[in-house]
Amino acid sequence: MKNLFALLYKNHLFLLFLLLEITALFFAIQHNAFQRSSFINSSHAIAGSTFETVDNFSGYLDLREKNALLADSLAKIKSQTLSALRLLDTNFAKINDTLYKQQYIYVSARVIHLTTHKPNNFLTIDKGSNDGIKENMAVVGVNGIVGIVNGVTPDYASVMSILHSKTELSCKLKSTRNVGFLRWNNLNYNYRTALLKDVPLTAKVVKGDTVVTTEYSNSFPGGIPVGKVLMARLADEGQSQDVTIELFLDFNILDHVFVVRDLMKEQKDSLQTKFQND
Amino acid sequence: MIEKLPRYVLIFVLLMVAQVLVFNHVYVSGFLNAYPYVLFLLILPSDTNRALLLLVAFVGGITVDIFSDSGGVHAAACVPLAYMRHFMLSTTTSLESKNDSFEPNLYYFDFRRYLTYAGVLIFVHHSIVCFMEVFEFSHIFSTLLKIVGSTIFTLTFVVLIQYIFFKKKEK
Repeated sequence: MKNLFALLYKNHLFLLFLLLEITALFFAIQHNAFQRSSFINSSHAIAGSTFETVDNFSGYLDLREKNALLADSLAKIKSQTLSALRLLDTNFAKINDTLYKQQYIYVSARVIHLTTHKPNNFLTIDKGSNDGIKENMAVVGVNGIVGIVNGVTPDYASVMSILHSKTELSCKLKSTRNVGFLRWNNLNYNYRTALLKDVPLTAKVVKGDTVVTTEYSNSFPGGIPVGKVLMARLADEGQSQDVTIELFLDFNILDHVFVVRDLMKEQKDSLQTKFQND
Repeated sequence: MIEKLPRYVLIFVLLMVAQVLVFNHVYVSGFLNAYPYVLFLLILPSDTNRALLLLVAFVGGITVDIFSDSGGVHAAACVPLAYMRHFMLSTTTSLESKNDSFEPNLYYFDFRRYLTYAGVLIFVHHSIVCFMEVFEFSHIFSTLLKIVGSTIFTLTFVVLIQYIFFKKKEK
């Protein structure tokens, strides 16, 4: 026993080193492997409020561009509201609209921290579970998609950006409706481009065509514009083609985002876990 | 040692603030990142308790991790750096100084020896950070390029910071 203690004491530095290193590796691997926030991330209270303070100052620097973007999207939405439409048939009075039912609610949030140049990028936003944000909700910007919520605290949420090597999202070409998987080609760390993979050879890819989200995703509403086609090339030994697209959203001037709450998500999820589980 | 504590706490805080608010947003040629915060481990006195050094490294690494969403990558890189520091110090400094306490800064060494001391430690740190960030061995060439580039970048900042902010001690 005495010898054991002596041995332990003799090697206490190495043992301490091993202990700390294994703890750190455990944090890192957990963070990486499960693709969800471990407790070390910037939605943490201290980091969150620090970034918020800094962002309060630096947010003024490109206010002009951000306002222009917001005004654009507001104009687009205004033109779709009822007041912009003219009633053609005066014989009917609208009592209750049973044709449409609200499925998505958009919650606006501010980005208080984001990265764009790492192999795996995340954002922190200033809304959390107190505002009804939950994990796996989609996050969109005024002109494109941003990512998926991967962790929440009461006041902040962490978002896994689409600029992440593990991101996989089904998208389609708007004109031909061919579906592919959106992945970020992180080899050159370019935050303006992404790849649409597994597009069938029969699909006619036109440069400049818009790529939009599909209805198959469990988080994103369908038809949200993602980017435009830059070029296509053969992949998988000629079995399919990879389409390089330019993302509409410029992450570097991203400030306001919208978290999408799907009111029918529970129905979809319960169906899938109940009947499609094998 | 104890009367010098405020000095090192100040260095630690300032370097962390600089790393999180400035250097995390500086990219050379798009993807090279500098991590000059490792200076806080390089500069602690030579007779610092080695167990304490390991703990400080772990805490410092976790601090950077919290602010840059990297899980435990920086902690996992700082701890080996702290563990290796003793061996690097004993190989780069002269024999008679082994028992005294000195602050291993730029002015203590001659310049080439300092580059060896800091360069090797920074290289080890950056290798771990870059490989764990990518988390796979398939992009090995671009990762190696990133390690070497970032090491040079960090080393430049580590030397510059000391030239600008540290006074030469008169003997």
